Amino acid sequence: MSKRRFLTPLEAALLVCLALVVWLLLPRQAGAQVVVTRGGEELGRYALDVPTQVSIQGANGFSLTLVVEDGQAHVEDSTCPDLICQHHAPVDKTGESIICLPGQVSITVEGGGDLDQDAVSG
Amino acid sequence: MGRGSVKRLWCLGLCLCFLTGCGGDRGESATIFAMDTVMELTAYGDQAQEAVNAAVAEVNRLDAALASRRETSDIAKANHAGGAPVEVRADTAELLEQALALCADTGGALDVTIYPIMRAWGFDTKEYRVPTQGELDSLLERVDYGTITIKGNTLTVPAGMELDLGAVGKGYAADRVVRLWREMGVTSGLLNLGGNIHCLGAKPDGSDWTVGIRDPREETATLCTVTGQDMAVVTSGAYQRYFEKDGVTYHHNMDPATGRPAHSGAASVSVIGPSGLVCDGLSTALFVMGAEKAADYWRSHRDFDMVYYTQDGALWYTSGLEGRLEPRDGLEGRVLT
Repeated sequence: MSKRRFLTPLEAALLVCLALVVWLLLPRQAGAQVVVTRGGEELGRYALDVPTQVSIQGANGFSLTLVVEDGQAHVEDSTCPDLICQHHAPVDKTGESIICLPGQVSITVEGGGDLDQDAVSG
Repeated sequence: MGRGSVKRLWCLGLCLCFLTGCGGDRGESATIFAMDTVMELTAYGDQAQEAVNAAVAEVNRLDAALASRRETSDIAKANHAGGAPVEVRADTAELLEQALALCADTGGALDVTIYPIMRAWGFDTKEYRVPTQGELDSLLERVDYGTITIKGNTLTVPAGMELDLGAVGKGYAADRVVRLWREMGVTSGLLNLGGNIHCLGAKPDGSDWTVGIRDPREETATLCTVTGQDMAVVTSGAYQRYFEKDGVTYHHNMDPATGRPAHSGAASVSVIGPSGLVCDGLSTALFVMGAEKAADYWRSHRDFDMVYYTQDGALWYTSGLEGRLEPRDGLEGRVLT
């Protein structure tokens, strides 16, 4: 008496199709990018693997220049009085952000390398 | 294909779905500017979007009620009433009762009437200056939380005194949002109110949240991580607001006893506990106290945890964090018992 195989060829083919459908439906993470918002409103998204320079008009008349190069984003210059954004180290990991409080601009990395924490206090 | 085969395929399909995360918890976030800082509010679950919308409305409502620089706020009205009693919102009263109790419990290391001193140093407008000792001595006569009274919803700020809730407002806002989310049935959420972290419940997959504590000397590095659920993590550091003049750095954590930036030996103090307001206020107070008094305060309370990082680079943490705190590579922490 022959042993019943776990899967017949037809079942195996169906399973492969099912796996393919599930894989296609999975939420997919885009390449790393920075999301720029002003006052919480999204202004644009810029891929970290595409070198670019963006002039951002912030709130209260302040403006800043975002530069993407070498897979990282940083603020090249800003007209705000604090210059905290300008002095901030380049960011490239998911969840890292550069904030310009006077201009109400946030620049946040999405889809980059994972940080090993959910949030940072400080 | 027999019935048994169909069953097997269903089982395998379901397994695939579980393995790949089909039907995972949905998270929604909003980034807003309120209370002079940037805030990120994230809720998970079926009601995530409604929860985030409600949280944004709640934070903006509290900001309007509490900001001392908004003329229509409860606090500004009381500050400018010339000593006359002012009716305030119920939540303003609730916040003040908790804040004044914390001021008393910390022996005045936290003082919500420090605002005249902050203004003298220019921390309100960022037009920084170093006041003379005579000016500070004169202003210190106007710093005394004990003169503020709150009875029911009636707030009295004596003429010449000024309230400012900057040291506790964000913590209270987090408490309110968490309370609101619990009432809505939200079981998982994460608030980052300008570096004040508040975790509601566990992460959507049931695991603990991991919160990093910033290295005061390097903005993209962390001193350590702390794991847990239903916890606030609030840090006060000399690096958060400061200015330099003639080679001297002046930070914003003022010692209410001297009117000058606290020289306590602390580089940063993080407080971990269930109440955002308590963690917020205590992080300031324990920074001002210095390591020895802060340790005594913790030993006499033990209802919160603390991470204390000194200017000498020593990391101390309380015993409740054993097994939950992971110092970064090369940094050794010592447990306070």
